[in-house]
Amino acid sequence: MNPSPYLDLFVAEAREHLAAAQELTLALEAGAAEGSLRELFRHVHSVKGMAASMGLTAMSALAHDGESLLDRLRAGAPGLGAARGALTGTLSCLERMVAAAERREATVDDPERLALQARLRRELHREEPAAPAFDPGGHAIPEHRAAPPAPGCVRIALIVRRDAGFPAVRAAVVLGRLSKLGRIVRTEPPMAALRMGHFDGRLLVTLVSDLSVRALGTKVAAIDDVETFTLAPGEAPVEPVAAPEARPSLRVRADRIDALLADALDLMTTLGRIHARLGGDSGIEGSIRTARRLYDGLVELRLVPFEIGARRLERAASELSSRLGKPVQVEVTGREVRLDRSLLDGLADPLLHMIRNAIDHGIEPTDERQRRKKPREGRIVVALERRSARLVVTVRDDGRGLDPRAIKQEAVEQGLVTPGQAVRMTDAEALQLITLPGFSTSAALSEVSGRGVGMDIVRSGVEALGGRLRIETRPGRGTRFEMTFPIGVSVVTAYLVRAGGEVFAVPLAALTRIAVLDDQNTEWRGNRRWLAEGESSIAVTRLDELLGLARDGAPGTPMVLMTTSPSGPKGLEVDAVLGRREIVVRPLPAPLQAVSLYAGAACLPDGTIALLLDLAALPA
Amino acid sequence: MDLLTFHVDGTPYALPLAAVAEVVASPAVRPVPKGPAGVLGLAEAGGRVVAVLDLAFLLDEQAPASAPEHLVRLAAPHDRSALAVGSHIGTGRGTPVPGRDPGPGSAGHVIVAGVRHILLDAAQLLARATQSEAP
Repeated sequence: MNPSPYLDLFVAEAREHLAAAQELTLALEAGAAEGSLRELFRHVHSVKGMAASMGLTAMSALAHDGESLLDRLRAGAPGLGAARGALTGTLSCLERMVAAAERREATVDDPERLALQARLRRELHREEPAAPAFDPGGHAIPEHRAAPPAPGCVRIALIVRRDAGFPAVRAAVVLGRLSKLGRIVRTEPPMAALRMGHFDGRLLVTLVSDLSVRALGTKVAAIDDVETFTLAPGEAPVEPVAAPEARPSLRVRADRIDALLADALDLMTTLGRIHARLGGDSGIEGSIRTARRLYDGLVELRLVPFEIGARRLERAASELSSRLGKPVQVEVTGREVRLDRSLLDGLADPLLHMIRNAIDHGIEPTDERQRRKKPREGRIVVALERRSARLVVTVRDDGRGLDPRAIKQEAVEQGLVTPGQAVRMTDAEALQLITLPGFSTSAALSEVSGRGVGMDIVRSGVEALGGRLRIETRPGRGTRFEMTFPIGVSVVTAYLVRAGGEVFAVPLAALTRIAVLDDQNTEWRGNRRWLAEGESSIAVTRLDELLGLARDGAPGTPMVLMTTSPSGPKGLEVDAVLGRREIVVRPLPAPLQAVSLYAGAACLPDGTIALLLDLAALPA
Repeated sequence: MDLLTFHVDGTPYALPLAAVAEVVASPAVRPVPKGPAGVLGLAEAGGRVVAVLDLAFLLDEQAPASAPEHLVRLAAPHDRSALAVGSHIGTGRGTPVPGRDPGPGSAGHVIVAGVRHILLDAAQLLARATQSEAP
């Protein structure tokens, strides 16, 4: 593909159109009004045009066929239910092609495109029973296919007299006359467009009336400004879903928001320093609050709810589950969690890979599940959770799980590890082997362990986002993947502490208690200090020692921060607790992202930089 | 080619101005315990928390670590990293010239005001810093 300077813009816009289109297909499924079909048509039409202008002919061709089917459906043709699967598949395929374009692939196409186009065309030419029509004039009228009749509901397609001026005004007059014959439930063009003068002479009206079709025909024929018309029983009117209030929106590149964020942070930091120098009553407290609002507002602009990604996963799971004939239930929790747009986009591929792997290889076929006395339907749970300045995403299934021994054996056979290394490996280390590039998924391995497809891609995708991947399994019971990411920018309530002469931040959410450390409540056992905690005692570790820092000679009251860990409670000794405050945490820059001890860094008002400790990553 | 020039352990180096976002004087660098050896620490520059790369370490120079006099914050896409440099900072126009292997993190040689400088490559330096082991 020829790289275009507009490619990034194309990708961003196409994604927005396709996301909106996917939303609308779900709304239609839930019974939304015909207006949703028009909107859906508009989005697919836009994607077609944009793809054509970028020279992406395969993508444009698929969008064209989707658009043709939608055009027929929005004109009132039945068959939306049957066509929905084809439309959903088309949108997913278009999304994949957008991703291929983003990756600058030489050819932007998809293996499923031709089959989808054939399916769309079948739906397009699907025959439906003819409906009785009333056409007294017999003139050329825009094609209008009849819908299943509903009592009292009539669709009137008419052309307003072309020899007269002010067509929009005449349309309003015609609608006024029609409103005396029944209740107008829908018009095409919509009323708002007509009021703006957008009218080409053709009008489609859905009317609910007590009059018979023939009586209505006589009345419509008597309206002076109607040149020709057709009249047919219409679909049962659906109350239109209230359209969201139209508000102008702007498209802004993420890096521009980032630059503004940096400026706002600079302003906030500078004001904080001035405030600190001037003392408590500096008179700039209001400006500090304004700068904070500005910063928070900019942060908010970058955040999107996971809901968007969740629906994409559910659709993909539903498609694959149908294709493989494996009933699978996907449960997503944490849909409301708001995350940075770049993180949401980066998560899409790893999550899709994991869901596909789980359905294809992890979840057993129905008969096997029944033999194992498992529910017939497989279960996959995707959960998002914010833990202080980190986002934790887990994907777990109740499938057959992984077999570390089989994985080791396969890795040895593929020459990825030596037999000696394999013997020394723990099960947890063996599981990580499936993420090695080149670890193939022979049929034998899939049968034994059921996993391994593209896991190197998953791991590299996770690491590209500064994240870490952990795998746990229970053979026969299922597998759990946990991914931990630094959250783009977040506001965290933290305790600022001093250790080894440096300031660190500890997220409040990670702490269970803070206590003064003295000889009364502690005892030494060997080289280690223990804090009495009720009936038991907790081992205390010095933070400066953990981090390899020299002891701080500055005066202070040693304190112990207590937290929980998988191995039980633990205590962390610091030289002083400086206070509790809300801090704006940013992820560490690229060269430091592999340092797992920290979840980010915050610039304090006095210019100090505090590293946010990830207590879970600190050694015991 | 417009260049930013400076010395590290007495050796003249140059960086294309296009790769520079800003130069900050007298930065406070906060060390990152257990961080990679090629990173001196973190500093605040232009509202960003940036990683300060230890040029002497990355260029295999022998200079002992000392407080940097200037930070050269790199331009996008590396704008969350900065180079710690000492004195003799300046700008000039240079012409690439052939020369023997200039060493790690470098892209060749340039002549600026009649003096041969080693031309640095920001992406290479960053990769080298990321891969460096914790001390």
